[in-house]
Amino acid sequence: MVSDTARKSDKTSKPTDVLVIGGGMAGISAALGLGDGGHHAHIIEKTVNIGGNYVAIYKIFPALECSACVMTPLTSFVGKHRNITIHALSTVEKVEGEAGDFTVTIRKKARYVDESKCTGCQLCVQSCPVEVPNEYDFGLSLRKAVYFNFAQQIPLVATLDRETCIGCGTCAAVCPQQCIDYDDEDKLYELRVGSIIMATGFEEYKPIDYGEYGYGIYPNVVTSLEYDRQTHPTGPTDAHMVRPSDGREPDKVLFVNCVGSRDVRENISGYSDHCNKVCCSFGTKLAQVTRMHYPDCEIIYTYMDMRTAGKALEEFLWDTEKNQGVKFVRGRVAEIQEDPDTHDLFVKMENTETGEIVEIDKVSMVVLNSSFRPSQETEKLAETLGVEMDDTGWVKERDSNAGALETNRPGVFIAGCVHGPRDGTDTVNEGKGAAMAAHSILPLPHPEAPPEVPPAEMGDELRVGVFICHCGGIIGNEIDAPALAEWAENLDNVVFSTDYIFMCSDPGQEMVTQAIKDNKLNRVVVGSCSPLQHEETFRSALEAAGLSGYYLVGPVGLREHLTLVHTKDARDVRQEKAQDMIRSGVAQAINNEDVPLKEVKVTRESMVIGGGVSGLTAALDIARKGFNVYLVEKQGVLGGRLNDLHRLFPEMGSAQEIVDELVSKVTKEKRITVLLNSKVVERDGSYGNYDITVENTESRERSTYRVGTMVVAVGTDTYDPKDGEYGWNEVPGVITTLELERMMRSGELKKPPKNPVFIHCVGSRQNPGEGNRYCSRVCCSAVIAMQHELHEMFPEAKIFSAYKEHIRPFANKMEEMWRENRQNGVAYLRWVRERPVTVEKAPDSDEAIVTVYDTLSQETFKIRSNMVVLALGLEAPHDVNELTKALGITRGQDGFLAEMHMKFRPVETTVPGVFLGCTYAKNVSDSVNQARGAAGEATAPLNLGTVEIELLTAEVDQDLCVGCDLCHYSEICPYDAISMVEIEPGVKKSVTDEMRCEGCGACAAICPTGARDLRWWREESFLDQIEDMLRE
Amino acid sequence: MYSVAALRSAWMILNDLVGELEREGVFLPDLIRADLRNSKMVIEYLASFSEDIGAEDSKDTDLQSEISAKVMSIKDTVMQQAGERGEQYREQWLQRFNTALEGPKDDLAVGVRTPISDIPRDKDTGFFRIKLPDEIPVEVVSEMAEDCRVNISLDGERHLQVSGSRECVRDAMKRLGELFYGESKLK
Repeated sequence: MVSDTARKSDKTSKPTDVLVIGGGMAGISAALGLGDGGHHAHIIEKTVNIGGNYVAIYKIFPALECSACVMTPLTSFVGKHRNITIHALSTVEKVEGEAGDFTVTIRKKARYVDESKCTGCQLCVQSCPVEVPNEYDFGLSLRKAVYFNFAQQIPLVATLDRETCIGCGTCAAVCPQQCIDYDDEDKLYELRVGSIIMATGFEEYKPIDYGEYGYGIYPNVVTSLEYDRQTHPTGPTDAHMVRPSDGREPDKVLFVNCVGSRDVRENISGYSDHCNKVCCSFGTKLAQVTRMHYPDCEIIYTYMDMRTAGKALEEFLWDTEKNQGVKFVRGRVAEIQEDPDTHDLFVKMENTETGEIVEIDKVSMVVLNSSFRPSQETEKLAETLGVEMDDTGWVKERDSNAGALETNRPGVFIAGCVHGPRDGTDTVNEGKGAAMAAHSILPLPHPEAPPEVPPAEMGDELRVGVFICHCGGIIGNEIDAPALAEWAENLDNVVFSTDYIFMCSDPGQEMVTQAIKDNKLNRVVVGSCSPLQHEETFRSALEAAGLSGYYLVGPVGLREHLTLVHTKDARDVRQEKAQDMIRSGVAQAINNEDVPLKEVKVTRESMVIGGGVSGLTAALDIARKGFNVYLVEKQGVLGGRLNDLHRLFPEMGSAQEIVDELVSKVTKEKRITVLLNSKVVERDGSYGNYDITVENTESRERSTYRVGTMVVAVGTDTYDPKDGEYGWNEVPGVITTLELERMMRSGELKKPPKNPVFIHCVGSRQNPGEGNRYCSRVCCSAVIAMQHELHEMFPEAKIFSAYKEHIRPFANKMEEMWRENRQNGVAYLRWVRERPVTVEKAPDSDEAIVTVYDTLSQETFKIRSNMVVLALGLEAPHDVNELTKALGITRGQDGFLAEMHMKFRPVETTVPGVFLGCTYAKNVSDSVNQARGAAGEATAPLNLGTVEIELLTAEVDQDLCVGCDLCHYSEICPYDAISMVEIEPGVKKSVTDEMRCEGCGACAAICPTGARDLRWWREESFLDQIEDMLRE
Repeated sequence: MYSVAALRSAWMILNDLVGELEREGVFLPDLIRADLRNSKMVIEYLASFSEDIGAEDSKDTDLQSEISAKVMSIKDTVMQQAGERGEQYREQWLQRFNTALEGPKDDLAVGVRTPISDIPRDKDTGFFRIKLPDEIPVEVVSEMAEDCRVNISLDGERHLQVSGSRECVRDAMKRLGELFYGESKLK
């Protein structure tokens, strides 16, 4: 129960273990952040399996990836992690001590089943006579009193539910392994930990209070999670969304947004004044999934505002509306009735764009996009931990901007939905950020080395194994996967070939490992998703069999490069392409080779680029852990964007105070060296020991700093409006939100402006081909906060806000502020892109005339104003290209810095040891949380002291090298890794510095004799792959 | 190559044998239960995703062969240990194993979940379903339901559905359990 490190520590030494309460996505991310950095994480999970809500849902927005594809290997990985212990069916009973040294009493609930003996045969389940509603399927199916959450759960061990067991003895009688133990009792034990992370997540609000919607009365009215569960292959209806009343496939599905949120009625239980942030994107995903399942189904989506505010989500909404045939109707459903004979539903609502009362009949199913509520027992747990709750029912943050991952009790941190609704990306970032915060106050850990696996026999013969994944049905439905596997068996050197439903799952990985051992495979080709997603997964499967991970080819992109993009091609065309890809993969496998790994000592110092609030917090976190930090800021002062802002939503605290406090801490911290007026111009060296050249922008003087890792927290710039855009630079009184912030901050705004008009989405949510398509996420909240402030300054001013189609006060408590503004008389006018707002100079004065066609009142307003405020969208820093070039990192389509995976690796870059604190337009708290996550990742190698570097470098065939010096003289190598060495008098040969070489291949391309070649990416391998790809 | 049902059936024989061998005190390798658990997981994956796998009229022959090989490998290990109880004993179990592979008598799949529209969704309402034994007259149950203040209904397969307030349902569950199966074995 207790980790080695904790067990070894005596009473006088400080523990390095961390308690993570909750095994959902936030808890898993936190545990991995801790475990990878050498700290032991104890996950306390009250249910029988980890994964939380995330493992129970099927597709993930916006890429519609299969959750099982990621969650199954992720939970499996967590289960096997040496530095993570999962305490299932467990709760926290008591907490004593203080930050840095807590003693926590854990109650492990009696399972009444011997975990060591249960084989998962499920005879007990079959024999149990009692059936109760299955919570895991949200009550859409029944389970037995002795149960598994799903037939493939990990671990596959039964649990007897004492509450519903009648003690009949039937299960004990049939269990061949005699696992049932009616005398089992709860066990209490203690853990000694230094910090605690609360990550207890949410539960879905059950909208019984909405009598007008008939939930709980009409069987075909379901919530979004219930509907999602139906889409899942392990769900109650075998991955088919069907009507609970009769099991029939729906012809017409209607979605209702904002159920249990954005609703101030007193009869709604729980806090419901808020915007739930996630439902719009989740509902849109379900609409898309419905379209995938039922191409002819009529899909109607009702909403008030579509708040798809997040990376790639605006594009996702656009695709749903324009390409998937989903009909969006603006308005709140007023009433749902049922035809008792057919169980069809009748929906009545007002279309607030046309003002018409809409009556929709013969609706097969209604999906209520229900909001989140804190998990049961959160309040009790908070009391046990001694942390405060907010009046909304979520855990209270120490500071809503600078300390959103901290509670009022030092040493107790929060992550994910325990402090309010948020999506997967933010949840993962927060898990990592909370891990950083939690271990930054602990001593350095000393984890034990992992056990060595005996190497596999390589033999002389090439023995290739081919593994084809169905990826659920994503690949399996588009190509004939078994036939592909059978076909591959006949390829030269292939001695084993098979297919499987989820190759990335635990059994799938074990299949790969076992097949290597059984068939003495020395090369493996996996045909599934992409190397980005699962290269590491399958390399681990090879390594578990003692085979180097470099003998893996793939995953060959049967999903990304074939089934997702060739859906409209003929089936035989798809099958042929699949064969081409696998044949090519086998050709690559034959040429594969092991790549040496070099363990190097890490320079235990880090660099943070960006001296804004995120960078300051990240630097403080790393320094608190005991490592030196270089903080690089291009401006002459620290504080970044906050230096321009007045008050920060939602609490309207002073931006200056936050900056002052952080700068004061940084200034006092001896481990932080601040480099102002500086920018990074070059990265040299290798992972663990980067030499970073920093240039002073004033003196042009350059200095080089050696660091082990880096955090890039460069924030955002604002969009530059074009001349004439909404009157910019042409009409007097047109300013930007940033200018208004400065005016309010400096106090120069002394007189009330005349009819100030705010125009939203300037430089955001633009049409395809016109600019930034994404939503900047922050602007609506910022505008509402400014209007709130303006109203307080000048109560008599009539303020207008012209928003484009959807208003998105996305941040916590901003829906409430928006409501307050409206009650205070701020007028919100809704316009659509087909009839944009215009701003002209008044003919008779220096005022502007703003013309808005408000779709809500269906009136055109001409507003005379002397202050038109353009709510500018956010963009990646306009000089970010210099940085990406210097560091070798990349940008995404939206221009922001690109992460490895939006949801699951949101701070990693393609350059090891370089992590991203900002990858999208975010508010202060989300930016700080992500930067802390990046700091956590950057700290892990420093904690451990060593990293492994793969020498994927250029080799020189000394026989072929003629010493022409072209590779060296041409300066083709961007990393200065090439030198000419005199091997005998007068004879020079080209040599690679393996620690500097990044394996870019430029030297191999320029070498006229072919002497230079890249390990693992050899020219011969490429040519063979191409030849086999093109073979008829 | 065997059907999923046959594999599941044969797996069950091995599962029974492992249990019996342990009761008899025969040595079993440490990981035999983990192997059983893992192979069961694979069989359940295959069963759950049969529609995806069987899409477009193709059969997942390779996968089933793979799982068959796994089950056979476990069989070899377990049967070897069964030999310690005598050749005849081993032969009997082997015969049962082979019979199971040839054609399972019963569908051992975990019951297919059918949509049930009557499950109450509010937190205050309790619900359970229990098979009414043939020897128990419905009248006795009706009387008890009235006494417990719960609603009951009986379907054609003698599934007794019970609903009502949580406390009442809990009480009914306990009393019906005792009526049908005697005193609870739980403490």
